Amino acid sequence: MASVRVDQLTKRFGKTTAVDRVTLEVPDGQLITLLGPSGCGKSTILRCIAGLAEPDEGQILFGDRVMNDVPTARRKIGLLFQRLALFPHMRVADNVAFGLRMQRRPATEITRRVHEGLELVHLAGYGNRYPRELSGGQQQRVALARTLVTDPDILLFDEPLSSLDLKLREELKLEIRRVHAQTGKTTLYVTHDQGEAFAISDQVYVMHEGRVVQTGTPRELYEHPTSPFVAAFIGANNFVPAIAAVRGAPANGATQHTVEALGIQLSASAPDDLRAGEPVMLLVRPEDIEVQAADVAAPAANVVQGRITASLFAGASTLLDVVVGGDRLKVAVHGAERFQYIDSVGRDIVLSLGRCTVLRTATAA
Amino acid sequence: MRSVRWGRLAAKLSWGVYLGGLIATLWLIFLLLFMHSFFKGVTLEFPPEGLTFENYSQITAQFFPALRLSLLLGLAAGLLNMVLAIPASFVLCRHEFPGKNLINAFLLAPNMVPAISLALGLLALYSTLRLMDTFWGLTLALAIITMPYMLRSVMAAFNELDPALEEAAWTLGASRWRTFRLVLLPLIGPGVLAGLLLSFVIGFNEFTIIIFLYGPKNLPASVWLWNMLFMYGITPQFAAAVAIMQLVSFGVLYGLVVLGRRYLQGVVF
Repeated sequence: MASVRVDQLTKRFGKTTAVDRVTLEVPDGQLITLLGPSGCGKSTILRCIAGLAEPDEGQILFGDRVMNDVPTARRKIGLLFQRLALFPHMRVADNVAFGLRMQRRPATEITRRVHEGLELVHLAGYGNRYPRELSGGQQQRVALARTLVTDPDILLFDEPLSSLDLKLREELKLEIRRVHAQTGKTTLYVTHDQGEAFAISDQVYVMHEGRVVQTGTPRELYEHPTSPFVAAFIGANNFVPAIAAVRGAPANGATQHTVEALGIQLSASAPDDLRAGEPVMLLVRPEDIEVQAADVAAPAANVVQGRITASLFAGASTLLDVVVGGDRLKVAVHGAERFQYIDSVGRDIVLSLGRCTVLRTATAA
Repeated sequence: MRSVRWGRLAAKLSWGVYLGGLIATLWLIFLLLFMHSFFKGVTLEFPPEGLTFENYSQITAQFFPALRLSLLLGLAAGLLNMVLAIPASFVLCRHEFPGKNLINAFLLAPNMVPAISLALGLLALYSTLRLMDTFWGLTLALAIITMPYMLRSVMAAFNELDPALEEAAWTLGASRWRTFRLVLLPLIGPGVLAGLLLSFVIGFNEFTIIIFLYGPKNLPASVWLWNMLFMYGITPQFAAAVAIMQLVSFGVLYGLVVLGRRYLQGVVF
């Protein structure tokens, strides 16, 4: 079984603890992503799994086998690097064939697999070129082919799209997803780009300062962040100080609570054991705030009035900074009406707050 | 606008004259000797009796064995350096260990020490070890004084290498040895070649150290020239032999400029 498990993994560099007792699992055949900002330890974990770094504590298991003392060359992994690591002195075909040569496969098999590999990444016919003659995206695809042809048990991706431009990233995201669906290989993907993580994987581990802070599907992380860090890292968010009021009835599997914020009463999903009067943090995403017609009565339940202090046209949306009483809200206006708000500084605006979540301020520490 | 074109032309001419003048000054001695190698006669006179290629053919029998030895010594010293410097650079560039800086200093220092002290030290050592007047004794001495150049060149090539290339090779199943042979070695090749060329040309021309360690069985070109000069003074034949040495050296150095500049930045260039 080609699953990967990391158990209480700890890695220190001098006085810094880069990875702090992390436990995670990549089940057989799944694509799991480690998501987090630079320096959170995700690449270090990947390198430990690959055998390029030695853990100070903890175990690395492939299936049931402890791999800590197994050298990289014998771990049967494929690793795609952030910096392009094609061998510059070899042609594309020789690059792709390298792993197969190491496995001492017969020449005819090597030729066949190289051809299949290049076809898989839509680069058939490029075998005779040198890496320097290819674009960045093409080079990464060759690197992908190179790792796949050796039929590794586990695939590791270390931010492979960081060095590519936006359009290429979009293309390759789909490519990676397609290849995973086609090959069904156990894959661990590391990135700092939340959009990438969401596009590619079913399960995401969010990391911060050496620890896993939350894990879940993209939707779970988006809708129910359990900490201000995750709430801010995944998409954009507004943080508004609030006071818990009355506990409401459970609805849709989450408890709805009434909180007081922005001078009104709001209904928000909240932890079950919230006490009335407790100070909390209200989270509402810019894209969940709707603009209302000017004659809608405000303030009312989940409706507030404010003044626009900044506006930014971002193409697919217009981003507004709105002052409501003593608080500031970021609002993302989508749809046709976004054009009406392009130069709207100084205007009054009525907003309806959609999905709201509550976090305890104790977790804000 | 025509005045701008003339201005640019004038500027180019001035630079051309300046560079040409600089080269001419530096090479004046060599040029003079080169000219003299074509003069007829036994002594050096100006104007010459006539022009001839005789001088070159006259020295063949005596000079060529010495020339051949110098070529072989330069080559052997370069190859010895290469074999020793590659593993040394590998360790020095990839690993951290206590005393690394000190070791670095030691390895790069032989040509910072006065040639005489080095020569006398070798003389004392060789007398005891009975390496005087031997091919390999001379090779070793030349290797010692040119090793810093080879090391610097190879280390420069190593440092240019992306560590990710090695790591990629490992993940593809390559052992350390195969990674070294198939990935590292080809990529440091140009650096090694540059070091080799430089070691060769320095060893080929070396005199100060050699004069203490040579003997009748092993007479390199530089010492042969010295003897010639001592016995007969400057003759057209002497000029011819010198010209041959210079041509070989210049050829190698030209190759160095074309191929190896990157690896010898700050050392030679």
